[in-house]
Amino acid sequence: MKFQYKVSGRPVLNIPRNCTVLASRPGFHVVLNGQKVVPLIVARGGGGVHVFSRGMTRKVSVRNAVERVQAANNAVLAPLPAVVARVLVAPGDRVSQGQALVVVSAMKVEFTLVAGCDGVVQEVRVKEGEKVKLGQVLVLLSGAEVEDGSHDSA
Amino acid sequence: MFKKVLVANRGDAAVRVIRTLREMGIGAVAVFSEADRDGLHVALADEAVALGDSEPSKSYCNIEKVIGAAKATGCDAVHPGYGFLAEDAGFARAVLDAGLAFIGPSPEVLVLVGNKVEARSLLAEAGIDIVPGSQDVISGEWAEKEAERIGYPLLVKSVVGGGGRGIRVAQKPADLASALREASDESFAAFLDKRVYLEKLLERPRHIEVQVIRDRYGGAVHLFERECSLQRRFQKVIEESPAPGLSEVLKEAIANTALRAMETLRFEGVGTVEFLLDRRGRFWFLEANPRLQVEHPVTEMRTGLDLVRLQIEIACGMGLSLRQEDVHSIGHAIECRIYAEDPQSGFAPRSGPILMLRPPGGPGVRADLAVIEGSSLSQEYDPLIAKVVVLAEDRTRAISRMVRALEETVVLGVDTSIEFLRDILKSDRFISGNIDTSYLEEFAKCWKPDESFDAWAALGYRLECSSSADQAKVSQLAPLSPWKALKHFGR
Repeated sequence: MKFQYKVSGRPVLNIPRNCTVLASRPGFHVVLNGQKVVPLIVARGGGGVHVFSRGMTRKVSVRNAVERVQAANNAVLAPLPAVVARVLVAPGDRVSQGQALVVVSAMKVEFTLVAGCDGVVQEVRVKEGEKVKLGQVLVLLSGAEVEDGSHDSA
Repeated sequence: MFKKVLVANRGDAAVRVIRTLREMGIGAVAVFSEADRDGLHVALADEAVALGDSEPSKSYCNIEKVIGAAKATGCDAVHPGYGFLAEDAGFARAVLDAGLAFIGPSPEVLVLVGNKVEARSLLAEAGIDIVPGSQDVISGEWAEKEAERIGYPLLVKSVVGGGGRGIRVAQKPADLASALREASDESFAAFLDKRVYLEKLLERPRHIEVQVIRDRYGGAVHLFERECSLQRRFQKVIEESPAPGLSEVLKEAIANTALRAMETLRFEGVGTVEFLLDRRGRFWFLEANPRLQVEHPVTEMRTGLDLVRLQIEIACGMGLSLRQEDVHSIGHAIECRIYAEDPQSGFAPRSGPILMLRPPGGPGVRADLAVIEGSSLSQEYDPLIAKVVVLAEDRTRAISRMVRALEETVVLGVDTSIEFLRDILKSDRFISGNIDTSYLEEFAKCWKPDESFDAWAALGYRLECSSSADQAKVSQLAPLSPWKALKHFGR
């Protein structure tokens, strides 16, 4: 099996080598070519390691390089843990790209989630007032072209 | 002077007020919701009273519970902080009716200032330029006619809103209906008031505001202006004073207009008058804030004054001892608000545990933390982690100092805006002072975190998950098994 570093969601293939490391709880000082120092402060939690250096922070995790099957493009996912404030569409509705589908609210802010493409609402999986998790599927769309059966690769 | 004051707030607002109360030898009583048991404000207060459920309407915004806590602890005054009930005239009235002092303006002034439509027309009558807009609360067909008269693009704004909530943009007539509905719904959700009005959306204005202090005897001073143009979702993110690039004559004119506005509104206490300024130096009244503001530390740094102390003195009936000529500028101040949010996904707020929190230090740096290391950011509240404020001899040095301070600020556990803030401070447009209310969101569109750091972060992971014997030489590290590494988690 192959493994891959994910740094704040981005894959990293090669990590620096040939450097000297000084432990410095809670972190490390990395010495490169005998001079450049990269201070790294680290903390564990939330299924990963959080790394800080000079104003930058990254969350690092390691996962199997074979990605889990992503939800289809026409699935509308919760962008953060939130409460569903309003559901603006019902199954069978024809929607166009950019049209508002669901409004979720978190931390006093409302987020309007819009259709990424033209299509028809296939399924609405949440109700108003429901708490949703990060990445939870809220609404499923089916592409209009697919339904028409005229294009396969649209 | 008051003996004991209840602070009806949480986070940085409560912490800020409690600090001054302690310096003045006044007892400080905190209140806290279920989610804030480990709140920083609870740790700093002399006494703390539990309010119950985390939802604001059942805790910080529950007038009965807050006043009950003040009476039960023998307080003689209530400080509302900012946000929650700070601008609620009903709350101020209930505090007075309970025989306690309210550290803020009278309920009558709060009603007047809080109704933006009324405040606007009163000031227009007094000869102050207001941002063009509808004179009345708006709905349906009448809204379309008014919108045509004012001209697009325009804003639909809550009559009682604040903190950037209850505002929607209508770029063209087709947007109006949904903007009306959304602004109205958000206003109702936040303030239990559906009323909205229309305001012209000025193209690329600057947001300039003036800190004003007035006592009940008519004594009044301004504490200079603040430049607050860098905003997202109508919420300020970076503020500074003095405002760069404005002539002394213009700044004086804006400050004097602010004093006149507060006099017209018969304001008492510490408050702010906000203006929009265009490129030709014309400025219009936007709104008045009858309370302390999140960004007040900018003014405290520039003037060396304690605004909360002045506010408390005025509330217990003392006359303002400051005259305008006593107010001195001692440098250039900048504030950055550090939020748990992701600048790359529309500044979506983040919640979760704060694994590590280390404020910056050194000369001219002030860090007002809103949370404590080891606590969790709750979804219920504003995701502010800290405000970092710097003071230096001039703007150039203040910018360098802020960049340095941000690079020292360690927040681990949640995504934050720190790297984004650092990069915008280093951008040419910010450095030149050529900023307006659109700049921050434009900058965010093409901003990316520095990907060259990713590999170092991965190294940090690898080191953290290796045995200490392996750590001395990276070249000698054994191939990594993630399963071995991950077994450490969850402890």
